[in-house]
Amino acid sequence: MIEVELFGKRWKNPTILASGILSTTLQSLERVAEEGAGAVTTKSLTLDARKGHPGPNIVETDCGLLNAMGYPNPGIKQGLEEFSGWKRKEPLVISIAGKDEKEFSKLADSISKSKIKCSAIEAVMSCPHTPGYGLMAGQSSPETVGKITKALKKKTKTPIIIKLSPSTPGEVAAAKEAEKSGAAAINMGNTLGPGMKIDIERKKPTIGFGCGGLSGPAIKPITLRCVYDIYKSVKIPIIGTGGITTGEDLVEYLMAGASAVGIGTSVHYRGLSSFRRISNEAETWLEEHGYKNIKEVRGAAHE
Amino acid sequence: MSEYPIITVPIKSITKETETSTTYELDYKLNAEPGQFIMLWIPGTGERPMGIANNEPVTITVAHIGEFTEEIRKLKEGDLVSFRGPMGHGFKLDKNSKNILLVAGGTGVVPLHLLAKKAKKEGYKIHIVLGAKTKNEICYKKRFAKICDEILITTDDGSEGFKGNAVQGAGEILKKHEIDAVYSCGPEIMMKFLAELCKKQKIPCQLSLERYMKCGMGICGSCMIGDKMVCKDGPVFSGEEALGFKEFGKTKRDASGKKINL
Repeated sequence: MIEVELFGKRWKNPTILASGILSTTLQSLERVAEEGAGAVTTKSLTLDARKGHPGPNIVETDCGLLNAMGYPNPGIKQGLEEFSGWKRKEPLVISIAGKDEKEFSKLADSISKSKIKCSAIEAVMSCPHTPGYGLMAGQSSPETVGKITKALKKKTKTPIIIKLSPSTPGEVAAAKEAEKSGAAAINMGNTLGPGMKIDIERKKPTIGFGCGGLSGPAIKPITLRCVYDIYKSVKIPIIGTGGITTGEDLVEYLMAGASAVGIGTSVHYRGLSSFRRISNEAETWLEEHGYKNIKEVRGAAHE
Repeated sequence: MSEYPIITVPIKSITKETETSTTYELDYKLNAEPGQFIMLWIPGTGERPMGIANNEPVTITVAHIGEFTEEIRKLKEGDLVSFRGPMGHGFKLDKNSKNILLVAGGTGVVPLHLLAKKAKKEGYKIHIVLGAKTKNEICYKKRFAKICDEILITTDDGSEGFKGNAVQGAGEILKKHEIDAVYSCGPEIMMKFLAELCKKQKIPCQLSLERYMKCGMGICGSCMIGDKMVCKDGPVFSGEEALGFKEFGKTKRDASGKKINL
């Protein structure tokens, strides 16, 4: 009922661990899969090791979390060594972040030349708070998305997911360009923003980097609308990532046109069992409403 | 909706603890379990986990080890500090045990002090090993003298007390007394030997572990050991569980997630 198929692989449910949450080590990914995630995404890997931004890296707001991690990761070589031990049946997605199409293509090349068994490569072009990457490098424009997607296609046969931002206008054009350039799926989206929280006692922004991306329930209506609009314009599957905390949120995203959903911040609100609970809740809702297969509800809000 | 709001308070007092550590009392009261920690924020520098030695007033002891502690040392009495917490899961006292042994290495005394105070209130007999490299680095001697039934000081160079390491000291106490439970915080290699000793003697032990922590609230995954988050599942783990982690006593990860030797 709740199973889906993406990139030729069966997912036990449509939830995937969003990149950056509990994804630095192989064993943390294994635990997330054990806790019920249908698929998992690694921490984003860059060409060289990065320590990330100074702390505080994550702070709470009234309506979600603000984070500016700054892509801490041990670099593509060490990262691939770490994740090459993936033996579980849940699909593994490797996330990569490059400064330009040359870096993205080197990263894809490293994955192609490694023995790692991944179901897809996710190319992130939407981080709102890391200089040189994503939004701070203007990667959200349709032209850049197209250029990077084409460069990746030349280096790998592995399906490519393009991770876009809900923060900038033109997301539909970017998604269309990604599809035209050979992407296998769109992940809409990333954190929204950047946003800020000021500690009034200290008279200072609380995030070490100054500002950070907003995630959680606050951004759901915006990302959901982006998914809805993109669904009208592309045929490739969409993974919706933004504020999914309950089974009803998941159903809402499916109705907007998502084939699967990324989950991250919910771990803060509902713990690691979020994956199992959200998919169980969605399954119950679908059953109670007379659905026989999850496919029946996909895009239902467009009918 | 914040589970961990930022608390900003003045520093009440600053005392030189040893040649290599300083103790800060903050003008604030917490209700932390022994072994829980706070994330101390120094604007412009970063955020780091700190053990809690006292709840009222909140007391921390900082070892002079790096850039972050250098920034803390610039602060004066009355200056503001900010923190979040308490966070994590701490030490558990078992009602069935009577005699407990605490084993501290260096500034590992911090969470054990809060534990000793709680145990004293609840009527436990408390033995403690205070391990240090040399006599100038022994922390909290006077504080523990007021609480513990037995103190054994060990120094690597024999400049004070028993010449040897804290685990050898613990061995001496285990020979003399029937100990029901062991609690420790200190260098990981020390705790590994201690966990093995306790396993051999079939005594339950609990250890406070440390890993590079970024968010402190179980999201970012920087502080993983095995499949556990040190910030959220720990920082206190049973000796048995710790011995099950492949990295325990061997490797940790740096800020980038790269594996490095301990």
